[in-house]
Amino acid sequence: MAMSCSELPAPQTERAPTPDYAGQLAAIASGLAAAQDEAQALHVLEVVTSSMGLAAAAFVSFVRDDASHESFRFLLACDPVWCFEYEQRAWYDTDPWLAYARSHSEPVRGCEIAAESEQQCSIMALAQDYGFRSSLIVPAPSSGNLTRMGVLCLGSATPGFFDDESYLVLKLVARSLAMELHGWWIERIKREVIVQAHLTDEDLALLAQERRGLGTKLMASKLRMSPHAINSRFQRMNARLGVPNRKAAAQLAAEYGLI
Amino acid sequence: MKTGFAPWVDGELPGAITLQSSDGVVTVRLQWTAGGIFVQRSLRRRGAAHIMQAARFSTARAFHRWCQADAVRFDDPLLSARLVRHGDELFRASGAAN
Repeated sequence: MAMSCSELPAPQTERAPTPDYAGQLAAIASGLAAAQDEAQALHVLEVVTSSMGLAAAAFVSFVRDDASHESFRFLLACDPVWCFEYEQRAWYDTDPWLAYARSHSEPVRGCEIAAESEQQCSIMALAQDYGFRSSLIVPAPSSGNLTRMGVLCLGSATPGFFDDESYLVLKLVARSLAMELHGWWIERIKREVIVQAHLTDEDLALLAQERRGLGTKLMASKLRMSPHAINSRFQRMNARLGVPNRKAAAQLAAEYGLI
Repeated sequence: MKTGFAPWVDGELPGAITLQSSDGVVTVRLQWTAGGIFVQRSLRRRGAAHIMQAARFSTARAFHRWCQADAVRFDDPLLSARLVRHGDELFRASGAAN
């Protein structure tokens, strides 16, 4: 059974925020805008984590456009062996923190999420072993019925770390950081898909029309192409994206922020 | 002692090295950065979720521990051995402490 917040011992460390505490953290997090790759993005997460006085942090980016296209991307500013343990047990579908983030937008302390099964208890216990003795779970949702989302998990080895008066400021900063990380990942994945599937501006225009529900004839007239050209273009694009039809291609494009 | 495993010359560090398992399921990218070895490991198994993890190791000891925990040690021992050797070479070339 998960321990409630009130049962946890009081924080052992003083963490009263200075007047510019949030400003300093925001300044570090703003470095994400200039991050060119995952190594640089991780560096920002590492510095923010350490500046917050935390032992561990992980940002998970999740996308599922259909059953065959599901991905989890982890930025680990913590012991990465944790991720192997997690991967080997294929715990993604039952993770209580991810489940919380799928249906909520409000940050929550890990101890406020109750485990509903033995497996969920094991998942939480494993997180505790890897630096998340007390934790803050910060969802980064997307709008528009998209499955893509992010979750920032902040951890401390100190019980009750998130229970003191600085919690509100920390929550505010963590929320901004989670949304920035989420935006950064989506931009990164978007570029990756465009390059890997060799998508042109014209392809993206076609996908956008499909997403809006336009038929081939209407698309042909709008884009000044023949219906045959539209159909064959979609066929080639579907193959490159690895999806069975144009509807799935448009869904994938929406999930990855291409359109 | 020069091992001959690292595909770069002495005194120079590469931008990134990518290693892949024989079945193409696991891809690992190693890169030396200011804080240590940056590793990006991707698992793409047909019909299963694509899992990518990105982490940094400031010591060879922490990197070895991670390599030991990876199931690829059993699934593709050759890849595992290459990973450890390339990582060790990067630590040696950078002069970082173990």
